[in-house]
Amino acid sequence: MGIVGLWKIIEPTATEIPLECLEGKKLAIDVSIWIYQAQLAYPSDQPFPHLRLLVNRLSKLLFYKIRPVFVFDGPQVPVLKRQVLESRRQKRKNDDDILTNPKKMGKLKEIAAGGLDEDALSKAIKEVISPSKKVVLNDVYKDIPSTSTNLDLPSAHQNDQLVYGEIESSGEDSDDSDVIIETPMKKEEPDQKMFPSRKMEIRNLVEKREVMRNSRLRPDMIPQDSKSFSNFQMQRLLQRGRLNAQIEQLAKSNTTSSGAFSSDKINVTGPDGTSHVLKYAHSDEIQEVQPELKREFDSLYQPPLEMTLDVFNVEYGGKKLSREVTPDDVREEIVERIEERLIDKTERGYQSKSGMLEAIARKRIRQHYGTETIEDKEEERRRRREEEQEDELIEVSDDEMDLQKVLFESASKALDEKMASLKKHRPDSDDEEWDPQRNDIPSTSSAAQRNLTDDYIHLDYDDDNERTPELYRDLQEFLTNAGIPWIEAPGEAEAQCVELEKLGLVDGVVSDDSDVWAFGVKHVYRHMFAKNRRVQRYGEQTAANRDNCKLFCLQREDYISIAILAGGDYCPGLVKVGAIGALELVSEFVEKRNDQSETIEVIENRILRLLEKAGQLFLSSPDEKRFTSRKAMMLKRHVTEANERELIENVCSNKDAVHAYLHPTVDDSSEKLRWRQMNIPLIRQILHQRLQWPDRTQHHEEKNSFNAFEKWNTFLQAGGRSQMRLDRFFAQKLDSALELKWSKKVVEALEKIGKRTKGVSLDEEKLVEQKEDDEIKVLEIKKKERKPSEKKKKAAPGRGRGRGRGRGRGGAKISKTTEKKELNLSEDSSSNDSFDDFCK
Amino acid sequence: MFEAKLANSGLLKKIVESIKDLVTDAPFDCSETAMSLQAMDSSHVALVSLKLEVGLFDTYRCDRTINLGLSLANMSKALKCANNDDTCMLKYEENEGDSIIFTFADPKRDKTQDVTVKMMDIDSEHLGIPEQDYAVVCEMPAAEFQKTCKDLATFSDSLNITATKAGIVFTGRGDIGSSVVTYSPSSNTDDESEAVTLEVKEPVNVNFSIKYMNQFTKATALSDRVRLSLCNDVPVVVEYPIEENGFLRFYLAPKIDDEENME
Repeated sequence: MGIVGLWKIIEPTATEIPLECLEGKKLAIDVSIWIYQAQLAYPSDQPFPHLRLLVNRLSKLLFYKIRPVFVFDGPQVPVLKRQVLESRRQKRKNDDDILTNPKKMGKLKEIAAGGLDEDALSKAIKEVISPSKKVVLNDVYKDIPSTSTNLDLPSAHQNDQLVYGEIESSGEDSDDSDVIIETPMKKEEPDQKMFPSRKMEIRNLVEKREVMRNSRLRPDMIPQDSKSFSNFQMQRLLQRGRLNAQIEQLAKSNTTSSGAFSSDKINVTGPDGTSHVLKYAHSDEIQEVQPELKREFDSLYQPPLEMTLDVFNVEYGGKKLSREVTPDDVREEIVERIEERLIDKTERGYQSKSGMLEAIARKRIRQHYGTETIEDKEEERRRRREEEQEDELIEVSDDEMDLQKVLFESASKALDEKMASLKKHRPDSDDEEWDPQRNDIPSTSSAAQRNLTDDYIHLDYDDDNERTPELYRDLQEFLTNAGIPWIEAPGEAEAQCVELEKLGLVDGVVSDDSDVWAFGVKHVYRHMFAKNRRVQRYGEQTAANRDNCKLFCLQREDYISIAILAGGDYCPGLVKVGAIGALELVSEFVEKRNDQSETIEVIENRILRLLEKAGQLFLSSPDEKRFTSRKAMMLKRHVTEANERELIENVCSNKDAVHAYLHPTVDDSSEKLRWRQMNIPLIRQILHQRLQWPDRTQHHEEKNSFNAFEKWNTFLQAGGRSQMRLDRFFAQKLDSALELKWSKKVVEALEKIGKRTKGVSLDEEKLVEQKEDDEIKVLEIKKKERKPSEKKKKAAPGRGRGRGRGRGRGGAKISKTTEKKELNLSEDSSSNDSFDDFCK
Repeated sequence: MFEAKLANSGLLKKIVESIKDLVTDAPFDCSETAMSLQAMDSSHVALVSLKLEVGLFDTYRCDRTINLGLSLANMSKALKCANNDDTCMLKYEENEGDSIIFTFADPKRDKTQDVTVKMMDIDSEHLGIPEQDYAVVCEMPAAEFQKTCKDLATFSDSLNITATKAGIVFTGRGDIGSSVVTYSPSSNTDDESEAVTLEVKEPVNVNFSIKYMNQFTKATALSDRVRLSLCNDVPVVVEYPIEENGFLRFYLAPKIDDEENME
């Protein structure tokens, strides 16, 4: 996943370039997540999906005469990384789980108990349903769930999403067509093969209930006065409840008899399963009452409620798990839903390996455990629900259970109403409430479904790690046959890519992983394989991005500091500190550095010193006067509010992570890379065999690939000389800078870092003390102010205090800008940074 | 309105013939001082830059800057109607629709021929060509350059140009063999137009696609001399002056040599 939120800071320095510009360049391709991408991108019956992905992407590169070097992950991944991934997963799960999250559970109880006034109710509901990662809800609001297979993210959020979805090379044929796109679920489609007799029975009952449910009440059937109305309603519900109980009974015997409870499968569900099951129970209850209530309300008081509680279901990753469906249906639905999600996922792309692994795990569940486990779940879900009810009502007879249900339903009715009014009154409430930009961890947009299958991930994660080398062998074998160089890194592929660049063996790195920055990359090409996006080039200044580049002064050590503070693969980071927050912290403590290349040790010490200072700030007693800069104090308050002392100590003394970033395990052999011409008949044979391309008709992928391969061969035949294009020399009209600007906060921090690293002192307090000596420095500040910062604001943390004598015009200018700065601070509090609650 | 008269159609004919295979559409920018054209080939490897100054024309009138987009194929068809010695009048009237009228007149026979050619909407974006100090400037007879390129093309598809103070070397190396043409700066030639002059600030060694070079040398008919301006890793300029009142320049992006040879 890389360093949380770092791309957003770096992105404005990029230019978008056409692929033609890359002709002849040697690029290191980070393939560390391709295997996972491949498994998600293609239907499960695809043989060698990883090879297919590789062939398609390789074709794209060769078509543009890019010389690729493929870099594979190796086994020596730092232990730190595994730990961090593990803890992240755990955290995510807990946050989103209503029932393990005491706050949410409490709210839920409050809602159920009723007696909340309108505002409180809506607030409570929101708190319960909104997952800690707010994107999910956002999505849901943007796109009413049930039928949609493509939950588009709000555009602002897309910045964070790396679209890996690209499967095709040059041809833009949509591979989505290969993936089964699910139709909205069908309610009645039981699998008759398995237990026909019971099945039928259940089905009849379900049908009966369905009829009951669907029979529209005529207005004259509805009692006029409120009391008899509620009695009437109660009657109907009780009736249906009995029906449900019957169905349930049957379904239970069904699943037990079919052996779904065999021990290993239960193990698979695992202890965590319980919490999910409980959740289902909730959504189930709510769901069950919902359609009818909805209808009734529709006819009586309300305009059509389009939103209703579908929201809930999507939230929890479940489909409409109402009880009119039999276990098999549920299974099918869940499978459908999972597939849908997978499609979403592949379209939307992945940022992290862990995310991918989870999704793959999900896919695998469908394949392997599909039938039993989900039945299992369904079953256990029921059992759980009963237990839950038992927990609340000590002795529960059947009738009382129904009563209990009714109580629940009244709560959900309130919910229902509330949802409707929320929707009605504040159609854009999602924008106000859940700002996607606040979210620095984008890959969690589907945190909810993750819950569904978290149990399996542990199994499959290891499983995948074992299988990966084997899959790598396939790819490596193919690349060798194709004459394309590849390297298996001893440790992480990203680090090896950067090492190749350092050794001068390649011109740049193709990766979407922001870790490359912490490893000290110079030229990065991002979104190389993204559909509908242009390649972003980082690390080269052109006319288009000159202004942004001038301001940008971050270096490897800053990226590492940000990683440690905000969180990266090797370190969990501080709570509520995103990349921008970390950047501000860095700007407070960064030291002067020399422009000349410094030894790694110097850099390492500097990072450690920075972290130490940050730690001192956070842990200092409130009245300590050492850190008097206002900004620093605010940062301190923010951090200490959200973080345990212990965590701060750990983060700020994380020598291991710094070391891991600075000394990655890499292969530093500088053996020249060679590209050979492709033996096209051989390759064709291999691919036909492996990918099972049809023999007669030429597959479109085959055609595209071999076009590219032939082009590549001609290119190599001609001595590998590449024809340059004039666009490179003349007004580069094909390049374009991204229309991106940094937020004020980032600009401020960057300016500060820029000055500090050049040894220009910024602290007014110090300036006051230093007097004379400062005159030169102030002049320097002045000089710099003329350039990029003229229209922007000053970084000097200010109180408009006088600056001593001898400042001349420079001093006057600075104090003027400090005024501006104060204004900006108040503006900032409403800005969208991940760090924004910090000014409150 | 725009009106320009050339003393003979031949000039325009030669220009169009020499560039029409390289670029298809030509946006002519007509200003008070010159008629010019800038266009890249479809692969953005070569650029044609033409400038015909007022001095070239018998009469020239251009009220305001206008852009006349013409298909070079169509223009070539129109010009085929003319004899080389015919005068050629280009006329564009804003209120007379979207056509250009070529009027060819044969003064000896009192004959005129009007050919109307439809204009095209060409999205012309003027490229800024940066000022460049070239390390090597070489002038030689245009025919000589044409022959050299032709000779090398039989051996190779790329042309290597190496220039030092000692001389300029054109090399074409291919599977069947190679051809190396060396010119030493000639000081002893009597005929000025036959001389090869060479100004070298820094030695250069660059490679170009010979296919493009051969395209450029079609302009040999326009001028006795050709001037090559070279610099490492920068497009070469092949310039044919037109009667001292204009030029036809070709820019060609170099080929980047790979340091190690492929198997």
